[in-house]
Amino acid sequence: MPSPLRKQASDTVTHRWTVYLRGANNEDLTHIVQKVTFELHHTFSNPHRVILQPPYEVTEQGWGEFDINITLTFTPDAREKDLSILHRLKLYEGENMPNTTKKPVMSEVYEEVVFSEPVEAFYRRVLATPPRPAPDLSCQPYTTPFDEREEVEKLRDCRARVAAMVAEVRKDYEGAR
Amino acid sequence: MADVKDILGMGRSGPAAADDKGTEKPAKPVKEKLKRPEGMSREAFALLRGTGHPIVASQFVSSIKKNDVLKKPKPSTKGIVTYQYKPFKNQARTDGLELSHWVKCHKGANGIIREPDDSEYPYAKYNKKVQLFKYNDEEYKNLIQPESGNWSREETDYLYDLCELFDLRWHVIWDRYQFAAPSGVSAPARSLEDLKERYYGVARRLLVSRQGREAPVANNTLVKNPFNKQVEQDRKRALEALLARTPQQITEDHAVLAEARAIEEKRKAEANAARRAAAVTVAAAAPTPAAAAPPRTTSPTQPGRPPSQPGAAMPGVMAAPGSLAAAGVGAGPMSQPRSLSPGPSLAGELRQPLDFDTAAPPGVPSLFDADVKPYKPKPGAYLRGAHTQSMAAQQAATMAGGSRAFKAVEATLTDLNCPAALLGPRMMTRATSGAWLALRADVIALHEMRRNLANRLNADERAVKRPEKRRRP
Repeated sequence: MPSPLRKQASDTVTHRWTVYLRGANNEDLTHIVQKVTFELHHTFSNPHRVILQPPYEVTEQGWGEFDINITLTFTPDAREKDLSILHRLKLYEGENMPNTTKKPVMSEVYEEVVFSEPVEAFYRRVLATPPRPAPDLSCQPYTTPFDEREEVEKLRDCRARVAAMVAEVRKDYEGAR
Repeated sequence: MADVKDILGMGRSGPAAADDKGTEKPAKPVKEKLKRPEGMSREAFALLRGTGHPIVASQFVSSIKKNDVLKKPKPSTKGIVTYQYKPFKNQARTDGLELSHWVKCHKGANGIIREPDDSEYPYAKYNKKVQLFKYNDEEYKNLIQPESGNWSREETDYLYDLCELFDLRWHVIWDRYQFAAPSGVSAPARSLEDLKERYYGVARRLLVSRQGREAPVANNTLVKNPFNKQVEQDRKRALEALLARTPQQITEDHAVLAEARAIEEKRKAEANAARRAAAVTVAAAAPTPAAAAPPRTTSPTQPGRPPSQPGAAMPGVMAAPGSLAAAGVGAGPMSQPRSLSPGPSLAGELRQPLDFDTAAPPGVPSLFDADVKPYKPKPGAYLRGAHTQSMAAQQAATMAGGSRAFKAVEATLTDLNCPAALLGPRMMTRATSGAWLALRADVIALHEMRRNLANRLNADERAVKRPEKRRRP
């Protein structure tokens, strides 16, 4: 289950940002995830933010980048322990300080949650639930879809090059016999 | 002025005070009036007192005078030392020769007390003799006579005498062996092995017969390793031949040995490669629950699609480098039919499939381990990205050669000029994580191959150089 996260740059006291968790193609996750806890920096008041229903997001204002610990609590029938993801809040794009464009700075990380040997009941229920869209996030228009094709192709290309190198070494090997 | 007076210890008021001060002084008791001991010099004694720091004398004066060389020697308890010229006998001798030597004695008040244990000559105990197994007439008649071959009784006796005389030193015995047969028939010339064989054969039979059964003497060297004349002769001939090799023969021998070693190593390397290739298997269809349900919407899944060809790397199959590059380019751009199956010639070089299914085939675990095999962890929920990164770290850790070797691997990954190669794909799906781990495994294997090749070249050089080194003294 992919869960991208991001933040958004804004005006006034340097930045206003939002950290969120969403399904890969904006699917609804409530049949698997019971609640999401965002652990903010301790300088924030009440840094322990628990969100019980989608959209799972927290909006704050601040000036600094820090690590946010995002904990997923699964539905009780899954009988799974909480899963933690660490996400670095990104306020600045590159080295330039203020964000000149109107678009917010997005930093999304794709993750898949793999359930190994899930509880039978949970498994069947999840399989039976048809996917449905989730309520929109505040930054919905800026989210980017994830496409793995490009990555796959790049890696395949690298592997082809490595294979060529291996073939060369093997040729030398044969020649040395 | 007042300070000076203070320093000097004089009073401030004037002469009256000075007088007071003066009379005070002799009243003050002189405490330290140690007498300098006579053995010590003045300077040394001055060190012992008055410095203020606690120098403790490490030696008392009385102990210094202990070993005075001028002291007269005290009379010893045993008496005055004299030397006597006394005759003695050597018990090791058989002829009763009596010689004389000087002996240290102490003269008491009245007479002379001799050195104790005068009777035993101290060096007699070093006269060790070899224990021979000697037969008597009966034994000879019953045991030895039947198997004597061309050895007569007299010759055997003669041999035994020589053995006893020369303590079983065979080369001396053989040199002195001159048996003149009394019957007039000249004895055949006996070689060293013949003599040894005769003696050891007789001794073994005697030993066995005296003990009764074989068992008690089975541990005895004579019985355990019987003398074998043929073996001895062959061995000596081989030794002589070895010594008499010409230099050319020596180099030939070394070359043959080096070749044998090289062949052995090649066989081992091939066995390893074959083992690794055989370990690449098609995913087993074990019905275990697989990845989470929601179908991935990022790439179309074809549930009924069979897993892509494994492309097991057989060491024998070798695509020519030219066609390899062409095939790689051809398989690159993907158009409408989104088949993620590898080109056959390309797959021939790789250990793992070029592509991995995005959706795991039913029954196959979705995560990969460090060897890019489907991996089922303990039951629970896992993050693919975190898991893949830890598997990558494991690959680096288990690499033979340690962190130094891994730095070369990192360099290669960076040279590929693709950020995903070194750090990992931004989007970790089953396909990308599998491809990334496979890429890392390929690069590690490449470096291992390079290192093996370098080692092999070094070993060959060394094998060629070594015989030359030995010839130089």
